[in-house]
Amino acid sequence: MIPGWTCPSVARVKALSRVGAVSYMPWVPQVLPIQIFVIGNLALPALPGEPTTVTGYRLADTVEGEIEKLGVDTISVVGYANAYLGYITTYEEYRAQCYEGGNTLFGPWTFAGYQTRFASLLKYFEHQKTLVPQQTGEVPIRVSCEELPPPPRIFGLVTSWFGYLGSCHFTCLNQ
Amino acid sequence: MSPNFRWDPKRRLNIGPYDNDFQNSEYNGEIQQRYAWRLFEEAAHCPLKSDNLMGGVWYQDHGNIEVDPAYADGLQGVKTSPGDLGLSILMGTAEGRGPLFGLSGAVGRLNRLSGRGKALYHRFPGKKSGQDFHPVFRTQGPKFSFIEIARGVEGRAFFLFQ
Repeated sequence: MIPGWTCPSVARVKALSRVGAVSYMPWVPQVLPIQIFVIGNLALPALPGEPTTVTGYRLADTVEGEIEKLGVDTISVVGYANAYLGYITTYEEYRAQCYEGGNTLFGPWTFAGYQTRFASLLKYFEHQKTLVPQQTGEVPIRVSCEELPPPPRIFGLVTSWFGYLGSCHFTCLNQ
Repeated sequence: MSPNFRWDPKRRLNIGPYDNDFQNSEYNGEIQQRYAWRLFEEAAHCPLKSDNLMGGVWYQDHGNIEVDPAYADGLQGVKTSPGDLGLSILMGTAEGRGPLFGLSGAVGRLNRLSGRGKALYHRFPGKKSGQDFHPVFRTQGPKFSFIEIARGVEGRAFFLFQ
């Protein structure tokens, strides 16, 4: 319904949709990783997005409660790790629905979901120091180069023409 | 792309040291790389004195996580929702203005209206927790939907248009 000329990203999605490349999957990755490293007295919980300041403090509190007995006294939250899903706001920030709340994709309980998963992940460490591959959860969707054909040449012209509206680049892994 | 310390009157927003955003990205990337490299080199002279080394990664469908009541004000059965972009993203921020930046009051009202509408619907007798709606709609609180990106080509824009 939204015309492609309004934004290069919309034009690209429409072009992919016409060739059937995006018909059977969500337009956003949903199976995403969380990760944590403990190095000596330092813990690095890693999120696949952009946490707000308060989100970072609250996550550090959550992790601290679970990890103190492992000899950790410093926690540094890492954003943009391994994948990207937009902003991660607290419940209160989400309710305000400013820019960051609108870009918190998975609803008002997005961050509470992270807290839940980190707490579960840390419970593993009570018994073992690393997780074996079978313990890494669900398998994310992988998209091949064949499923993401290169953008048409006209697309480059459009992005340079409407550059001030934003532009995008597409890459994929050969596998 | 921050640090944006220079006002660009043509684009009416703060930008980095260059007019070209890709050059600004490169500039920021170089700063990050310089600090990362310094840390890496310093680490070579500070061997780890502890054998406390642990690590793990966990993949999960973030659109369908059952939230522990301890993190949801004691509420039972709370779940995350399939992905949905809210209208508020079109407002942008003072640093990077979006097309609806000047209409933030109207967007706020639409969000509040959307939240109240959903709450009201759930109070109707005979409705079982919004079962008539797709989860994208019923679990996004006060967010007025812009694009239901989790539904692929079946997703709607503004709740209406596919």
